[in-house]
Amino acid sequence: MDFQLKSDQDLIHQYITGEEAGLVELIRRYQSKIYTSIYLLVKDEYLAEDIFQDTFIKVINTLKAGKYNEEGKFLPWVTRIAHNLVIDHFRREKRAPMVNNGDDFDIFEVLGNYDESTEDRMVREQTHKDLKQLIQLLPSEQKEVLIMRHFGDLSFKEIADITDVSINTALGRMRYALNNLRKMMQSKELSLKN
Amino acid sequence: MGETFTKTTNTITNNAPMKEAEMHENLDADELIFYHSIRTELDLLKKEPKLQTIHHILDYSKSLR
Repeated sequence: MDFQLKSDQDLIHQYITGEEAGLVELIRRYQSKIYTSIYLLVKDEYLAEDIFQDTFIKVINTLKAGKYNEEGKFLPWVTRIAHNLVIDHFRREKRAPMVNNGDDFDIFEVLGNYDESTEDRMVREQTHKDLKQLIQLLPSEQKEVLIMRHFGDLSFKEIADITDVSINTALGRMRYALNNLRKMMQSKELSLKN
Repeated sequence: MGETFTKTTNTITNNAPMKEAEMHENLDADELIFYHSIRTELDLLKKEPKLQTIHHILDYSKSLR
């Protein structure tokens, strides 16, 4: 059977019983969601790579020890591990995620969109930089929910469980995040219709 | 370093329709309109880890055999 058609639970079972391909597929399936969520929180590519790696080392250790018991909900479980490692990092650093303004992200690495004019490209590039900066300006708990919801593709219930708040609180934070983003975009006269 | 992991839609675990419905149920119309107006741009912020990092993880796993 094609690995891509297997459920997370099947892949976990395969991995535990000695087939490395199960792990390879689980990583392939969720690497972008998990890595992007980490990266947008820590705003540092190298640190995000380290935390991503540490996250999966914890995943491997837990699976190999036979301690995994998440009823098939692999992504929320891994996201929780990553989230805790990000919190650990900021505790160690004794600084909040919002104060890191380093910017080493180049959207054109991802887009590969070189056909547009120089002016269009500059506008697009600036728009993406602006949006990314605005996300970073959100209060950490709002940014966290927006990232987990959009990039981690988690439900509000899953986000509530991970962040240890009620579903209504998680939902309220998403609302505030969207409203704050909209206000900031209006104040900067930033349009995304390009 | 090149990326060798193929991006494909996951037909088993893709619960996007359910989560889309959840958004519709829980957000006001103007919040939803705004969210939909920025989601394409948000998607463009997605990133992948380096292949080297994936290899380190897989090597660690193999070392436990």
